[in-house]
Amino acid sequence: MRRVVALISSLLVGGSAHAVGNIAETVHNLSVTGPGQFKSLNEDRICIFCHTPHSAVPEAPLWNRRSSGSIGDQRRLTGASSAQPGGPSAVCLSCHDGTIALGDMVSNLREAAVRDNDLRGTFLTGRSNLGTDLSNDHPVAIRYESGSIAIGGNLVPPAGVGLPLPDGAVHCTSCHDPHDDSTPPFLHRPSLNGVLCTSCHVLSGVNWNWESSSHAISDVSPRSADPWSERKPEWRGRTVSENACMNCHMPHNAVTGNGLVNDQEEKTCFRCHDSSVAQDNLRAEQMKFFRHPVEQTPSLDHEGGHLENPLSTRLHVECGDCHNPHASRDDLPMISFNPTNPMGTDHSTAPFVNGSLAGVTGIDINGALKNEADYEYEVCFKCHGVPGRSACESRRCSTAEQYRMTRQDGIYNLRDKFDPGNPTLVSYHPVAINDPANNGEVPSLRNDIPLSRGSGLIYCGDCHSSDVSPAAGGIGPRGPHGSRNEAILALRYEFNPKSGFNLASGGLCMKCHDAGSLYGNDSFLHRQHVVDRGLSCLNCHDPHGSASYPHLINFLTSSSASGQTLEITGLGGSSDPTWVDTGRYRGTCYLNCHGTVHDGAEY
Amino acid sequence: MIANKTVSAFFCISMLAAAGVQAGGDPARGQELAEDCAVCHGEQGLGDDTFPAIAGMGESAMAEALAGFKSGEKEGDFMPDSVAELSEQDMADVAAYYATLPAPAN
Repeated sequence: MRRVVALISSLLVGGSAHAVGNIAETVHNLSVTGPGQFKSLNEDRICIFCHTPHSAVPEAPLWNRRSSGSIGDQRRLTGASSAQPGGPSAVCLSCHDGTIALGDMVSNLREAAVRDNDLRGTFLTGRSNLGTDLSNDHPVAIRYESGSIAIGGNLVPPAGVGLPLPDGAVHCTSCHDPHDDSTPPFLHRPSLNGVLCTSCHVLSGVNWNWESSSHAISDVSPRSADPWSERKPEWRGRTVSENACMNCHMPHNAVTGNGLVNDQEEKTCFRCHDSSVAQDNLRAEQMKFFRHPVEQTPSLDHEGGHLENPLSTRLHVECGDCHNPHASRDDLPMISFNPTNPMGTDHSTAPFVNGSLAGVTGIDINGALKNEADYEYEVCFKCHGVPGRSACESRRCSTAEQYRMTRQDGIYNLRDKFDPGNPTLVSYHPVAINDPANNGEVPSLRNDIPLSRGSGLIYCGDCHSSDVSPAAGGIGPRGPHGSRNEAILALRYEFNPKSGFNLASGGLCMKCHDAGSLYGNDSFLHRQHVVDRGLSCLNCHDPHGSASYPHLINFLTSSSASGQTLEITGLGGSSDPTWVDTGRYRGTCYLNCHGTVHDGAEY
Repeated sequence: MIANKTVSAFFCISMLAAAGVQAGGDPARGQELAEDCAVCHGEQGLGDDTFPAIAGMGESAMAEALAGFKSGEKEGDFMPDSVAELSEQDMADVAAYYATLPAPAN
């Protein structure tokens, strides 16, 4: 004991800080020799601001500061249990919560007669003052228990962490060494390349891991504006991979409960995904007239895709609902072919997810929740395949429910339009499964695309994607972030039942269907309906699927466009239009289409 | 492949019962109104890195989008204010004008 007192006493003598790291050269040296903004003008003892050899308080060894003994409000963490209320973290907060003056020391009372302390009225300010609301900081005073914290991954077993875990808990000192600033800011390990964070956090799943994600391996540097400029130079990496976790997260003073750097999730992504770092400008995609409305969901209403159950959560869309930033990796475009090079192999294979959707939850074809989607449509089904709701309910959609459109089969859950197990389903586009019987009477299917009539599958993203994406034959951002085309379609499709637009000129359907065959009337009087009368495809065909008839025939029984209500009804007071299959490429219609009566019209 | 008589009968009926073609917007008037749009979207509606290209958009789609911004169904940083004073006919005219402009190449 005598030796310890002697050692501490020597430290308390002015300038005698050499034995404890390089503290004399750090901002934790508050004495007259300190290098920082906060320093005394008359106190030359370095350690005295925290330690005293006599009459110390018990929170920490020879502790010389008073504190509340507790920590402020922290962010909610699923599964985390509290350790001791304040513990070792409380001693740090005796300066860093900004409520106790830097010079407010226990020894002041005893030494007041000897010398005054000019920092007795000085409080920590700036980014180092965490305040008493710690909900935007990494939680402290929580038990470190492997598997207990659902942050989209797991935790390294305590024995493998290699960082201080006082009494089995995470405290400030788990990351920080207050005596050593050789790795700023007082870190045990560097934050660059995620070294510090991944000491505890294991981010991996069945088919993904952080180490192979783009955010962990990309050597891209900012092309224009530096999204990391607000960080201190010594904390900032030169590339995406060097910044790693810090591309998106802030361990202190974060803006969201998820520790993000911006107040809305998409704004965090757009810091780099606006072509300043990442090549594609997704911010511009979000400015397009038709887009997934990520800006409409405040981040505080969003738990993160890995925590939400899409079957029960409020309908919304955020970047994290389709992308797992800890897993997502660069990959070939998720399309079944590129229309500018149909037979090329520069695409992934439908319906499998590519790297961009790795580690994302989904709803399978049977409606069950999956922790990791295997197929692209399973991600889409999280919003577009949940019973009782329609993500398009207030928007014009070819399978709309709440919008001013009504389909004959009355089915608007898109999963029911693709599920081969749905006993009422008659025909469908081959998203989940191919039904060759569906294709036998579709002579318009192109032969110069890599889709087999008997087994070919397509992605949702073949139709729903940016107008400049590979799905549209472009080289712009992939996927359905935004598009100039309604319903976030890659190419133009006409939602006005009487548009007069001829889809032969670059229309969506012509990606797979040959205009010459269609308008040559190989199977039906398409030319007379579409070209001559200006009727759009969606009057008769529901592009997702039909529980009414083969060939995706599912009449648009009611719609409203530009003030006109257009109906396709049955005859003789019947509301149901009727199509009768009379053989190969033959049929008969009994219906009233927008006032035009087809009473046994044959073709 | 298809019985000609049947086709003829089918289309006679169809023509007799043809409803009026939907009234579209007036592109000429839309061009006048589009002066305000050009401030962000450019003279030819080709946009830039911030504002999207709107030239060559489908007339119906664009009218639908503008109506959505005006009703509040669609959100945006600039568009709701930009269309606040436009009538339904104004929006139809603007949409008709931009539909006549050539779309940008991919």
